Amino acid sequence: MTAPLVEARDLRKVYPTDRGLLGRPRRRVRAVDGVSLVVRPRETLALVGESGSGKSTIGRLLLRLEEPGGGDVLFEGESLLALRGAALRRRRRRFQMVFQDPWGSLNPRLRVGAAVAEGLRIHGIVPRHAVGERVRELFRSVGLPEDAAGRFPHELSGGQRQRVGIARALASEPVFVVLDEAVAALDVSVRAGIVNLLLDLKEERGLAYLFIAHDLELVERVADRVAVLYLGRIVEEADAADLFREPLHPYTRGLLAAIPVPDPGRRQSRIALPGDPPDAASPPAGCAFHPRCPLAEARCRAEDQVLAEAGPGRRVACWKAVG
Amino acid sequence: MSALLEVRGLRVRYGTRLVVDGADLEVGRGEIFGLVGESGCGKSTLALALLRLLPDEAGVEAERLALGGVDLRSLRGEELRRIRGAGLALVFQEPSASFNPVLTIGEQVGEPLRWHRGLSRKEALAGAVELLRRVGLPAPEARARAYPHELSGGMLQRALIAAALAGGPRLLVADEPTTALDVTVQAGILDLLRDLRDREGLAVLLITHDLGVLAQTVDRLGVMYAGRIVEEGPVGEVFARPLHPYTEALLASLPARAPRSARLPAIPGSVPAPGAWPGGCRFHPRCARAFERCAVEEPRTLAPGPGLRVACHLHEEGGA
Repeated sequence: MTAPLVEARDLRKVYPTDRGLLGRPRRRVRAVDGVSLVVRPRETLALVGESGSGKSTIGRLLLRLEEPGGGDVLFEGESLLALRGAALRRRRRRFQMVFQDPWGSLNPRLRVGAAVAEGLRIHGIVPRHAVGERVRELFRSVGLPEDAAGRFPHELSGGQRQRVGIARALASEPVFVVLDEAVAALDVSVRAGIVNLLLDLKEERGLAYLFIAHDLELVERVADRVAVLYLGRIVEEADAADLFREPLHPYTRGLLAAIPVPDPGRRQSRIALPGDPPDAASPPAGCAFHPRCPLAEARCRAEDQVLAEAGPGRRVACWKAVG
Repeated sequence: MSALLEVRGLRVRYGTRLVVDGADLEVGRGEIFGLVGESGCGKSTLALALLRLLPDEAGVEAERLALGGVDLRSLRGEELRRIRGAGLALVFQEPSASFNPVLTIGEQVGEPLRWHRGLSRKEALAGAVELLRRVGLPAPEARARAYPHELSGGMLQRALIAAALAGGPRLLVADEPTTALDVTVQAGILDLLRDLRDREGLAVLLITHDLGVLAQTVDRLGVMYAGRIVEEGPVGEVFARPLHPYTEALLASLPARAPRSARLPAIPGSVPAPGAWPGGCRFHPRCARAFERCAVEEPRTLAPGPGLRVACHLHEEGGA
């Protein structure tokens, strides 16, 4: 098996909420609660889960856009947390992020060509005189007309803006890209084109992706492996094909069953999982999923569940699923 | 018997910019009708026009706009207030933005009861608890005393639907009611809409961009593109045999329907914004099956079968 490109070891992040009079937090939300995962070169690992499951936070921690409260992140075997200053900047070239909302990540008063050139200059990727040519190359590679470089963000469509976001991420020649709901805000008719572009770029440039998404049908198409998160923890991890064919954790099963199938001939009885995602500030005791779990027994209420081997490349945090 | 909601030739414009251009649609009693389309196609504007909630600068014209035979265009003042609530009611995407954070859920859900039925504060509160029970909110008495921030997104959406039901509407207009919710919570809300239809005969106009939601929830649907309804039919028919190339391409681009190994079939170009609609058929620059006529002549709406309508030159006699 190839060596990991990115590795998270027992990653933790706690956010204080609801501060009291003296600014002391009254409650703490464990957004990420002991997550270990591996992304190999040229691989797409998808993170799925409901809102508040911690999937976006994990993406930000892996890129060190936020400091973890505990654990470590290794990039090509080297701890990212030990790096400072210039050494961190050099490493940062190698990983990038594409956000959901291209609006929020582009300066409205900067022509989009200049926004992409900025990344090239900061990282000193190409000599100054070659920046213009490289911007045109990048625009071509994401399927944008060359004259788009001279436009402002508001003059582009949502799909075109997201292509600019991708071009900007590619400027520093990364090997690892976090796609945080990168196609969620796009119209259905435009989304497929961007998904195809991401798949092509992965092939051509040998990229690895962390694909954060709530659209599970898309995940099935795009991901090599999937990690399912519930309240800041991985509850199941498997090859995408295995997970969608035979989900083991009751939460994964409920999540998959809740996807509205675009086939009116197959009407589902739709309440697959009762209740709402719980409040991360006061997670239930034992297995955090037990209040919504159709299989819950006394042991589930009493015992914390940890990830255990459940076959080749599969991990699941449920004693009933391990068998 | 005529349909519950009748819309014919609805046009909405802001200045010279058309946003809805001649939409026709009918929703039957106790029917769930889905209106699907992408951003800027005019589906939300259409909903607001039905409730006469558009700002004054919007120019609204229609050949017919009626609910249960009552002409909605001419209503004023008290009559208009009565039809909103007792005739049709609206539920939005973002339930947290629809509630006042400093009033309890019970006060807000009960408020329309005081308006429409002249109940006292105490009677309205009891009525609110009953409404919250009807929409399947657990522990409705406690929830009625809670403030909006104490409820989850899914519970708030149920409470919003409860408030919409207070006036006893015959048609519920739900604009992307589950878009902001998790998929597991969405399932419960869609179930509730179907339940309300089955139990109480409530008709629903469900506006969505999600074809999965549509397939699972509606009886009939209309597909909107650039201000027009380009196809309409029973949900089973449209999904099995889409007539308009836009509908066909939308369905083909769904990950669940595309062949496994290949790239997703994508539609070239992007959704045109109001004011930038191309001439002829508005979909022609993106259409794989467009021919000369499509660029120059706007297609008429045809009725190729019972309950089916499509606006596409391919289906005209001698079309292609």
